[in-house]
Amino acid sequence: MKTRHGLTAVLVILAALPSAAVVRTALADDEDDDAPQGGEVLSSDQLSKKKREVLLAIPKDETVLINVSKRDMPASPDVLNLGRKSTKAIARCVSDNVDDKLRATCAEMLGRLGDRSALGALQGALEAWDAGVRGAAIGALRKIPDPGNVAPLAKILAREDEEPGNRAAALEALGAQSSGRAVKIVRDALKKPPEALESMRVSAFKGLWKSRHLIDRAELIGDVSYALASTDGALVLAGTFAAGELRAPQLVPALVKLMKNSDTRVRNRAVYALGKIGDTTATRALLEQIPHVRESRMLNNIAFALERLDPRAFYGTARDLVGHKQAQIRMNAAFVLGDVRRPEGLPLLRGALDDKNDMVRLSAVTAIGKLDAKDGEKVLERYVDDPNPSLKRAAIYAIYALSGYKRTDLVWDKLYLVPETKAEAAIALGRANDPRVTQDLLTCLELSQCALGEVEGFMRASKSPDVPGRTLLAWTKGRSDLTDLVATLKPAGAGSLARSEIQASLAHKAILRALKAIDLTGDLSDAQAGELLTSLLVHENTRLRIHAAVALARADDAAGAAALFRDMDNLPQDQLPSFVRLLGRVTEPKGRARMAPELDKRAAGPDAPMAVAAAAVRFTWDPEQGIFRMLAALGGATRVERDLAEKYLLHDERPLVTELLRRALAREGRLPVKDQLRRILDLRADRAAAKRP
Amino acid sequence: MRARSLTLSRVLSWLVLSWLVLSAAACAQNPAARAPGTYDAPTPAGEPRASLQVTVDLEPASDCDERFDLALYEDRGVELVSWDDGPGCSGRHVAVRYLPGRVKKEALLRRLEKIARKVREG
Repeated sequence: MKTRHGLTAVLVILAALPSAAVVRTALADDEDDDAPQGGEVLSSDQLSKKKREVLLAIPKDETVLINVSKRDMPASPDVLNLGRKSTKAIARCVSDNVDDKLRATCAEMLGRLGDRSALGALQGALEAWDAGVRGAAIGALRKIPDPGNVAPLAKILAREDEEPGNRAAALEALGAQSSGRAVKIVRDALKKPPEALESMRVSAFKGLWKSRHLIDRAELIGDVSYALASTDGALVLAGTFAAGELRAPQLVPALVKLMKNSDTRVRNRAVYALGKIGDTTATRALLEQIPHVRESRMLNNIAFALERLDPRAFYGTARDLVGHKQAQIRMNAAFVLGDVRRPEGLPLLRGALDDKNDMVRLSAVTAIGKLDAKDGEKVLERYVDDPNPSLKRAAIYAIYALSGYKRTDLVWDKLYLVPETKAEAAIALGRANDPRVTQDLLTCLELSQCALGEVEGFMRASKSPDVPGRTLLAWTKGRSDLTDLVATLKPAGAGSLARSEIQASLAHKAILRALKAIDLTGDLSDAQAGELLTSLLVHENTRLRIHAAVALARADDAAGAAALFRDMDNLPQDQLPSFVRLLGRVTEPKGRARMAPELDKRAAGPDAPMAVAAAAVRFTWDPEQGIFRMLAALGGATRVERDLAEKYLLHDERPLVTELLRRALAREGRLPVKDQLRRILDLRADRAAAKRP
Repeated sequence: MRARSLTLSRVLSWLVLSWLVLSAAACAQNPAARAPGTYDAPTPAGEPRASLQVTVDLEPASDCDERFDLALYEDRGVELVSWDDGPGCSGRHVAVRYLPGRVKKEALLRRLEKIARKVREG
């Protein structure tokens, strides 16, 4: 009996052994990345020291990341801080490390660096066993377009065991390569895909759209028509976006059909595109659609489309809508009439003022305030003492806007002197630079009760001696967002405080705060900051070095300018836009003159992100001269160049830039560039409208 | 021998000439080949500039100032339009910087009157 029990126990143990081994393996797979590896146990200090040793070795030893484990790998921001000097070591990490997660991380970093010398490693990683590594490499190759990427990316599509996500990403990455061969591949994937790519027509279309500058206009219209006629909802939606940008009248019939699509997004985008195309053949279809609309956004889109296509038809429709049986539609009609801003809307809105529904009346009052109609003021006078506080408030602000912000006494008497509406009224009065609200707005700013944008104009224009001092005091208490305002106001003592702030922030490792203080010393042209700033040119933090170099270069310091361009050449491509913004602070003619030749050299160079960044700085400094290089970039050979130019042009919100873009659009003969200029102007107009009070 | 080489060079000259003529004709027909002249280009710094200040009433539209600009900039004698900050389409003050060597003030005023409802100088 005893023997039988013993035998049973042995059998149980033997049976359990394989599962135990599996469990052990599973546990090992789930092992914490920071747990000891190779039997080595390190304290937190030792680990930090080891990571630092690896970090310091990266620029000097290209093999240092081959055998590094995830535990010893320095954090990505620290590696990227080394800039392009780290490319070789990271590329070896992608090629030769055995940890797939690390290889994927390294591939992703290479994409952010944008150094073309890493292309070989990334193309090789497309053959990695691990799908995550291949996915990261595809993403990186998308960011570093090159004709040599096309064949390896095409192989991803053909690979039988490839993940669907990687195939989709490869299609979009192919589109980003600006290659005629890639266009053929993605078009085939759109129109006659093999079974494995059947469900990826949207990615193929997105890829094709990225290559649109290479495609003949008629063919491109055919591609968009194909997308619009598809049964794949996502592809149709992508097609409507493209149609809005392409503005081809040939697409009108397909878009008209889509106004009845079951997907509300498709319906809305179709109407939006019809409005942008501006072809009057769409007018009737739009008018016929109105009685069937059940959503306010669609109604607004139709109204805006009609306003462009046929103003008379628009006002006829608007008349019907302000008298519609549904209050929500009457309210939206009033809203649309206000947004169109034309004086013809006044008689219709005047009628809406007698609506029984408070929300419709409120919408009408607000809308009248937006019109280009002086008579609106008279119409609204009777509401300034309305017992409905919302209506009263809206009427007063509408009159204020119609008066060109001259009726300050009305806002003062009716809203500022009432405790419940005082704070908002103070901000409104600040818009007219009314000195009576100085103390209110300073307190509001200090207590972060109002956004800087709401009061910044007032503070800059104010003649009150309290403003500079109290703004500086708030800045020293940590309000870094006030840096530009302090720089404009130039309060006494700001220079020495900024210097002290740099030192204190560095001692406390408050890097962001130190950067702001450095910028302020540059803005203030603080001659006494030179020594402190020069000492920062060798700091290990690249951003600190660059900010210090810019502050020095503004004072025409040769060492600062030289350091600045050394760092520019080493920067990861995804940090170039913030570099451009920083150099935009340079207003000093001597500093600009010293830097201009270096920038021009880079603007003519072969590295597209670097060239467009350099051109963007010159454009920021002198838009009238710089616009032509930016236009050349918009018509550049690669999509990356075109998209970067668009990004920089969108970012600069000055009215002068809008004018230059309009002039360029009026004279542009290259259709893809014309489309992109139109798109930039539309986006700028949307942003400006969103900022309007 | 000399006569033969002369004939050969004459034939070659004709071929080159014909190729040049045909290329020029092809360029004239192909929009892409014409492209370099069809976009905005800088004006030489030394070219004289003048400025015209006007108040305009525009055709009412939500994008009235943009429509005005796009129509005006088609004239390459117009260098830059600067608007006042005011909203709306009527009574807008605008400064037009132009190149008197390419467009005379009178012609510019006529063009402004064509694209705006009302134009008052000053």
